[in-house]
Amino acid sequence: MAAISDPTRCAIIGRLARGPARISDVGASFTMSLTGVCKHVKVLEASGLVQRTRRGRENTLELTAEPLREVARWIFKYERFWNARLDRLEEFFATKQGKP
Amino acid sequence: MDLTDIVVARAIPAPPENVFDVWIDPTSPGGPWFGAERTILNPVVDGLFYFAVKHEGRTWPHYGRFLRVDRPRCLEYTWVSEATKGVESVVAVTFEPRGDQTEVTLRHSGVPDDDMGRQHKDGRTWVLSMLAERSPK
Repeated sequence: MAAISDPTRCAIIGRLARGPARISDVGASFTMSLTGVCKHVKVLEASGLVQRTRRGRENTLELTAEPLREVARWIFKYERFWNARLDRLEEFFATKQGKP
Repeated sequence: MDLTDIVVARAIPAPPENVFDVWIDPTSPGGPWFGAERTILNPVVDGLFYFAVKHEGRTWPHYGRFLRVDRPRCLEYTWVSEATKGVESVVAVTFEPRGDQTEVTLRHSGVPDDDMGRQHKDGRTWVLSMLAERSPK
C-alpha cells in the first residue's frame, strides 16, 4: 500500500494500466527528472507491482496486475459486505411498501 | 496492528421500529443475518451471536456480543472473524427517523489494517479497482 500511496507512483500505475511502456516515455509525462521517476519506479518494482524488462539500452515497464487486484479486493471486502446487507434491507421494505 | 472504520448509510422506506425489528430477526429476508449457513442470535445486552456465511466456496464464521440494544434507536455489537484477524471490531447501527423513512448508518470500527482503511476513506478505492480491472490479467 505504501507503494501506491504516492501520487507520482499512482500516475505511473495509471500510465502502465494502458499497456507496457518504455521508461523514457513514462518519464516524459512528468515534470520531474528521469532520475526522480526512476526512483519511484524502483519502489514499484520492489513492491512487485511493476516489472522491468531490459533489451539493450531500452527499459520497458509492465504492470504486474495481481498484487493490485488483491489490494482492491481486500479494500472492498467489508464495504461490499455491509452495502449488500443494506441493499437487501432497502429492497425488502420497498417491496413491502409496493404491496397493496 | 493498525485499525480503521468503515461507514455505510442508507435511507430505508419504513419507520425505525420496523427497520430495527427486521435487523435483529434472523428469519426475516430483509435482515443482515438472513441466508447464512447458520445463525444463533440473542439480541440482548451481553447476548452472543454466531453467524456462519458461505463465501467463495467456504464457510466464514463470525462471533460477537451485543453491547447496546436500544430499540428503535441503535444497536451495537462486537464482531470477530478470520477477516478481522481475531480482533474484536465493533459494529454500531443507528436508526434515525427522516420523515417517513429511516436513515440507517452502520459504522464498523476497528477493522484491521490502517493503510487499506485510508485508501478506502480518501476515495481511491474506485481508482484502484478500475486500474486492477483494466490491467492485463
